[in-house]
Amino acid sequence: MKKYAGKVALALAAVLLLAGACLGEELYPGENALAEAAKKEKGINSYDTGPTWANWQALFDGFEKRYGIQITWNDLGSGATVVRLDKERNNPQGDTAYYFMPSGDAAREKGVTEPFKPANFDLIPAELKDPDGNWFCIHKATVVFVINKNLVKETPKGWQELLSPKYSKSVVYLDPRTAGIGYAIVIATTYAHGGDLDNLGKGIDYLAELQKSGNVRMIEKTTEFDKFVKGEIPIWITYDMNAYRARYIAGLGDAIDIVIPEEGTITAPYAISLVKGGPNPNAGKLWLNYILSSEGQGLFARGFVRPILPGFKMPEDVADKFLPDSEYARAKDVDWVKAQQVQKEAADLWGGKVLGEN
Amino acid sequence: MERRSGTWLLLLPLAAVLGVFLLWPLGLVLWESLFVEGRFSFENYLSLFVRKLYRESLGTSLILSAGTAVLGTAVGLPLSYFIHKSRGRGKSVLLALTAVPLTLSGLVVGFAFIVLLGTSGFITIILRELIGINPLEFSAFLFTWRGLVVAYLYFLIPRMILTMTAAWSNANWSLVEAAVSLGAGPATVLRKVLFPMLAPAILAGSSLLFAVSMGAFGTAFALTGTAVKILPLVIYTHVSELSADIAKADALAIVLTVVTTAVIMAYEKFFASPSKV
Repeated sequence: MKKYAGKVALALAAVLLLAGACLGEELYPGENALAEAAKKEKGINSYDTGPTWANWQALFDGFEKRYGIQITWNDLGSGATVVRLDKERNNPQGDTAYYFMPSGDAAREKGVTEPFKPANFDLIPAELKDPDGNWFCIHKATVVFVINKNLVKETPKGWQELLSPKYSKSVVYLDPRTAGIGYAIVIATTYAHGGDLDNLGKGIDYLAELQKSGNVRMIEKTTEFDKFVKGEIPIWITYDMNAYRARYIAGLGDAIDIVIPEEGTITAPYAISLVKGGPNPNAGKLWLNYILSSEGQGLFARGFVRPILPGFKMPEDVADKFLPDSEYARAKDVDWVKAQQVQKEAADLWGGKVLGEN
Repeated sequence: MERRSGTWLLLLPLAAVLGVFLLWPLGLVLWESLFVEGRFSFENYLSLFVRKLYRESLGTSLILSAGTAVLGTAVGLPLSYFIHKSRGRGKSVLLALTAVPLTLSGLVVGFAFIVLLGTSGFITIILRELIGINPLEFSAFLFTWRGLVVAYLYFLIPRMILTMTAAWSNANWSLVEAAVSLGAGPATVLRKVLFPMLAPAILAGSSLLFAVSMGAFGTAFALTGTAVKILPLVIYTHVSELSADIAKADALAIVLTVVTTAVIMAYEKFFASPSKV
């Protein structure tokens, strides 16, 4: 019996290789075996990956085409995703959870994530991943202004200029207490005014001044992309990926201006996790590997979402559509794990000083 | 005796539905609201008295709901009479149109108003062309409490009309004729005959409007974001915050339920007694 074992193994290997050849080249070692295991499961529940955000739709399509596995998504928002995972901890429904990076670390603290190191994990910069793989960043986004030139005659250059009376009832941004982007804006205004994570008051004081000036049209909770494209928002403080999406994919072109504020801004990373005890663990891993593979990262780039892998070669026709690197030099990186720890304080401070809620 | 217990059994399905879909979730919410970091505590409720945000949002919710209920009743009453008096095809068309707003979700209503009255809204653009208004300044009202009043009335007035059309057709008009034949003037007929006759329906309708207003979420969510502090939006903020506080949201939900129920009961008790005389 024993002498056949070697031959059987050889034959098995040959069959696997053949199967691999049929599927095409592997994106990473072990892909085909994982895909086989994943196909026996019941699809994937991918939390908080709304299809119009960060070009997720393209990744869904690419993944389904490659593996024939259906992705079910929801669009909860970073904070709500952590709450949902916590509520479902005894009976997890999600397989993967995507969020603003600080929320990823909050999920790790709550113990609802499963350590997993996907393909290319080692390439992710150390400060943008949990060492055990409880969360890891997959793309980043920079806080910018997007200006609807039909509604705004003079494009503001920076934060200070936004306070001018000529922008009365014009500025829209998301609530820092519910959306990651909102909190990213608090940090961006803080750094632009010489503060840091120990002194978020500077940014919040600025936002309070902006509120008092009467220039804030409204503080949105959701759906701001569609409202902007429809022409409801004169000046939108948001991520560069939404700005490029409005310009190139929604087709607004030169009707909008994209501004990296002259006083500076920040770049925010977005992370994803494998959910602890999720119903389809292999499919979940396959999905996470795909997102960090060259194909997945390339699909982000095609949707003007900046990939996390350092030195990732952007497709050429996309690369010249981004603002030049000299502009991006004003966007700082921040210690996001620390940002998570001061978040509650910042949210309360914002509610108190900007909206007068205490 | 046996027969009576048999009829009682017929209530079981209703009791089961109420139990599973009302009492059980409400009980869970109440239970969760009584814990702070795993300890039993009334802190979530006490904080409602301390934090300005909670007092303000409860106040704003009550004022907004009472105001829109009064407006909705005032507008809905004459309209319902008009529809009741219309005849033939016109009546059925009007009734069908009245039902349309009730089928739309609150979010859809919010966006419909943005499409009409927003910065690039249909009416806004027409007004800009005709009388040169500034679209930014004009449409700003939509995203404040004023916008909420307008949008809420859109789905409150039809509710009043539907409640009242039933009442008008059940009204006993011979009593009015009798009063007139005995020499009563219009004011006396209204006060002594018509109002007592219709009071139960007006009461039911207006308290329905109040309750719907108190709980409405989608429209405010689409229109005002965080700008108007009403209880349903504050609860949402607590559930979806990056640093979520579910127990506090539970406490606020219980307060919303209790206050709404209490106001409706007090209102019905206060107004229902004279009509019985």
